[in-house]
Order: sequence, then structure tokens, then C-alpha cells
Amino acid sequence: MAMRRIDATILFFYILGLVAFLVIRAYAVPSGFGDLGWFRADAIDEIANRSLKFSENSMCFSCHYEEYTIWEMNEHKNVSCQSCHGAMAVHVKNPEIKAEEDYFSLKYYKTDREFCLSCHQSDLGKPKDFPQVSVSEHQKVLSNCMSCHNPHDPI
Amino acid sequence: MKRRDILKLSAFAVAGVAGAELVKAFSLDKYDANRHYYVFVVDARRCIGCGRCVKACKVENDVPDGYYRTWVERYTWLENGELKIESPEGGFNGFPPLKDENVIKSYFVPKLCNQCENPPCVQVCPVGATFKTPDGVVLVDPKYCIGCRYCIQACPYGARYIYPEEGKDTARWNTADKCTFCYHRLKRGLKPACVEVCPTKARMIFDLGNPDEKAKFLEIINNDRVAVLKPEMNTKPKVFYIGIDSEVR
Repeated sequence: MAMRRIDATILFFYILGLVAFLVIRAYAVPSGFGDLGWFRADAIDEIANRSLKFSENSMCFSCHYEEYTIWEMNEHKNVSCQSCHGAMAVHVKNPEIKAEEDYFSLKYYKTDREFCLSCHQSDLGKPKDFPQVSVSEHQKVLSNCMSCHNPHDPI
Repeated sequence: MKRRDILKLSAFAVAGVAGAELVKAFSLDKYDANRHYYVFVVDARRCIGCGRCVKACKVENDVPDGYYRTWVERYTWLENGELKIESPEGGFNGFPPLKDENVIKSYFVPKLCNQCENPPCVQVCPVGATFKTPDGVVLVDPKYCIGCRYCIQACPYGARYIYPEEGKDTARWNTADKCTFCYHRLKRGLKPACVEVCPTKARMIFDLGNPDEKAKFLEIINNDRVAVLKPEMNTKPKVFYIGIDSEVR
């Protein structure tokens, strides 16, 4: 079979087109797109590198070991530090700063009674074996739960 | 030049591009997403409706007021057969105590993104901005999201919202946002913020890539009555609920 010759101009435009396509593609397609599927794989790392607000219990105990020894032996041992004390990643980095945004601690709840009741207020929806307090029955005179109960050793 | 040469030349070009993509695919990170797979378990019998998960999620993920990546609902059956479902501020400040005599039963159900195995939100995204990672978490790429809201309509669980311009994270403004299982924490070996603060351990997360955690997960699946929300949607959710009725959807 005889080979057909191709016009040099057509060849030139063919190669130019190919190069132009590859160059435009290299710029237009963001890095990582298509590596793992029809999305930008680099986004996974970008999301994974967002900053922490909450730390972990283990980070608390290197300094607060006295609280730890009381807490770990008593009823609240399954309640994480940050459940009551708030987001503490900032505090771990710089101990002078307290919690990041205080939706958790006494400041937000105004009185410590309100704070304790945010979990222990009696309610029909709560599990039967969860310790619940009806304020009217439990104590009328004092408003301060913590004068009798230590939150780290509540009973 | 002959046609054969041109074909050869373009074959080399294609091979070059493919080679570069291959090199990229094999350069692995320290955290190997293929060796992790996350499932979530909510034990509704243990939830006390304190709202700490909602608060923690708001702080950890800069979720603005009035928007929720996770929220708590209270289901209450009354004697007249009526079912009351409520979620004041998503349960952020807890729930007003029930003192009604007519209550038959009542319990709390925390809700979050189900991180579906077969996610409808990913199917409908026109620009490839929402996707499933190899470790099974559905994420949103805020740089690619155009805020068209298709995914919000597609989600049967109402887990998504548009991150408003009052939010702290300006990179996410006007893009779809949702629970990520706190992906930034998982990758550092920490638990999601809601799991960390849950005082009754009603929220649990398990990494099926870790044999110990997988055993714990299987113990729950094998011994408890477990349900997922809206199984008829064929989304295959990865959030499993213990102790809910069929009215919870």
C-alpha cells in the first residue's frame, strides 16, 4: 500500500493544535483533579489541614494531673474534660489563654446550677438510669450545686 | 513526514501525559486514606439532649448561628397518638424539660450527615465539588463549589446548607457545607469534636481499618438492634442508630 503524503501546512497546524491543547489543559485543569475521581484530590488535604479548636483529654493531663487523679476514679470519668471546660486547643498551645469560645463553661450558663442542670435536669426523654435532678424536689434553699458536689468527684 | 510518524509523535505525547499522571498517583502522603474507613454509631438510648455536640460542632467548624452540621431532635409520643418532633435551635441550649402527664415515651435523636456509601449529593454535583474520599467521608471542595444548591435538594437527610457570609471561614462563603466527620481531626488521629464532648458516649466513631475498633463496631452491630435512616433511598448510610423507631427518619 502506497503511503499518502501530507501537506506541511496541515501538519504544522496539527502539531500546533496538539501543543496548544496540552498547554491549555495543563493550565485549566487544577492540580490533583482526576487523581482519585471526578474531583480535585488536593481539596482533601486542604480540608484535612483546617485548624483544630478542640484538643483531646490526653493533652490535659500532662499539666492538670491532680484533677486527673480525682476525675479518673469518679463518676464523671467518662465525661471528657472539654465537655465542661470548652474548646482547649488554644489553651494547649498557650496556657495563658483559656477556652476559645465559651459556650460550655459557667460564663455561658450564668449560674453553676444552670450549668449542672444542662445535663442533669430531670426529663422524661432521658434514659432512666441517668442521674437526674428535679430542682423543686432536690433543693430549694441553696442555689449553688458546687457547695455540696465537686464536679470532678460528683457523688 | 508521513502519517505514521505523526501518529507516533502523538502517541509519545499521550504516553508522556499519562506517565506524569501515574507518578502523581503513586506519591503517597503520610496518612494513607486507603487504610482507614469510618463508620459512626449513635446510641439514641444514651442521649440526654444536652446539646454539647451541637456546640462543639459550631466551635470546631466555625458554623454560624442558625446553621447546623449536627443537631438533636426530641421525639415525643403523646397518649392521643400524636407524635411531637422538636429541635429548638438544633438543641444548642438543650431542651425544656417535659412535664406533660400525657407522654407515653420520649427520646432524643442526634442527627448529622450520614456520609452515604452511595451519596446522592455527589451524583448531582455538576462541577465535581463534592466527592467521597477513599476513607469513606463525603467532603465539599469550597474552591470548586459554585453554590448551585443541587446537593442540598438531593440530600434526603437535610444535612447540607449554604455557608452564609456571616461565617468566620471566608473561604467557605456561599458554598455548600456539611458535616465532615471532622476530617481534619480524623487525619490527626483524633475523634470528631461531637464524639469528644459527648458526656454519655451516645456518639461513637469507629475506624474499620483498625482491627480493634472494627471488633468493637461489629460487637454493636451483632448484639444490638441497629437501624439506618431512610434505607429505602438506597443511599447506604454509614451512621447507624441504636434504639430508634421507624418514625425517626
